[in-house]
Amino acid sequence: MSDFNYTGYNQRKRSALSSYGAKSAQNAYARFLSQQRGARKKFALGEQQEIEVPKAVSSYTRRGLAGPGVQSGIFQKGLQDLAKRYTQEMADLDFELGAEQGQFDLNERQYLAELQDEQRAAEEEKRRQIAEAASTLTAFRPFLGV
Amino acid sequence: MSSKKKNNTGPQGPMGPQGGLSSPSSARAQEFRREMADTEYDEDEVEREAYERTLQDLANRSKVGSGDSGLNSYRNYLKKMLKSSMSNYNDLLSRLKSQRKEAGSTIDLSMGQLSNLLQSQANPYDNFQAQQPQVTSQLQQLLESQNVSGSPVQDLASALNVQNQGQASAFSNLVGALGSNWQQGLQGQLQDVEAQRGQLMRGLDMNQLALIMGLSRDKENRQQQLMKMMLQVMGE
Repeated sequence: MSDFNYTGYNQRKRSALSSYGAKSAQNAYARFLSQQRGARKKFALGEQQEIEVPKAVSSYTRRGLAGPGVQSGIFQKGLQDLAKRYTQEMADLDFELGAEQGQFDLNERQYLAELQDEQRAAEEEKRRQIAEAASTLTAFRPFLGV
Repeated sequence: MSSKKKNNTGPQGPMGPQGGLSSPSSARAQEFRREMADTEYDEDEVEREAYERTLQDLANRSKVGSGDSGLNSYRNYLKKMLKSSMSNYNDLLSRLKSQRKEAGSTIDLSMGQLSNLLQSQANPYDNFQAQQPQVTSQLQQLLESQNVSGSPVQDLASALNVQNQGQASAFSNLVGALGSNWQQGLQGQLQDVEAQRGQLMRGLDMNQLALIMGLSRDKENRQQQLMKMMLQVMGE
């Protein structure tokens, strides 16, 4: 059987692996930055709430709408709206962070699928050429002078 | 060579006056001329003697060496060539069959290894969990401390959780579809490998048949040539 040169195919697989490694590393770093960014935003939002809430309560108190023994519908509605706003803001932030993380996760899987495809294609081509060379019985042709 | 006396009959053969020995300067030529002038020869006798000499030579030659005449040696040589040709053909045929077996093993091995590689790859989209953050109502403690009902905020949180769950499910379904496509692609490739294996084995058989036919044709041509040579020799 004639010698078969695998170097081209092995180089192709190594190249695909190297490309996957680079993209995966970039993706992981982007995910890390996203997580950091999200954590900072949540912290900032929490701090903002801690600052705003006493101000809001004191404003109602100054107007006599809040305080011991005071039952004010305006104050209750205002406080509930404040709480709902904070809940929505925090939920939106959590959802945004979750969607980003999901996208990074999907990116990683797609890079892996691309790597598998490339390795599969190189291996398939290599094996097919080996088998085709064997099937032509080329090593026997010198005995016939062809 | 028999000879008879002749009466001054000049030489009639190539040793005649125009012959190469008629140079007056050659003493031996002159002597020969005198001898030829004094003798005569019979053509029929010369031819008969030459024929008999040839037969004797052939008979003598047949007794030398292996006892075969040149003609028999040649015939035996042709027979050996025929036998060798047949032996070469059988040898090549045997080698071809051996290589076919080896080629078949190579095809099986290559396709088998490829199939194993394909099956060993894990679906990259498996076990994907979309992010589903849990929403909690904010400022719950403040509301309770101020005797304010937290129900509207909790209702909002619940609605947002349902919305997030729906969106996470949609994302998971999308990734699931990608995974399903990947799996179908893999199954298709596995089927292609098996189809290719069958095709290559059929090609191998066809190539073997073609080579055997080529060998047979060469053998027949060679044998026909040798037989023709033998027939020509026998005809002589």
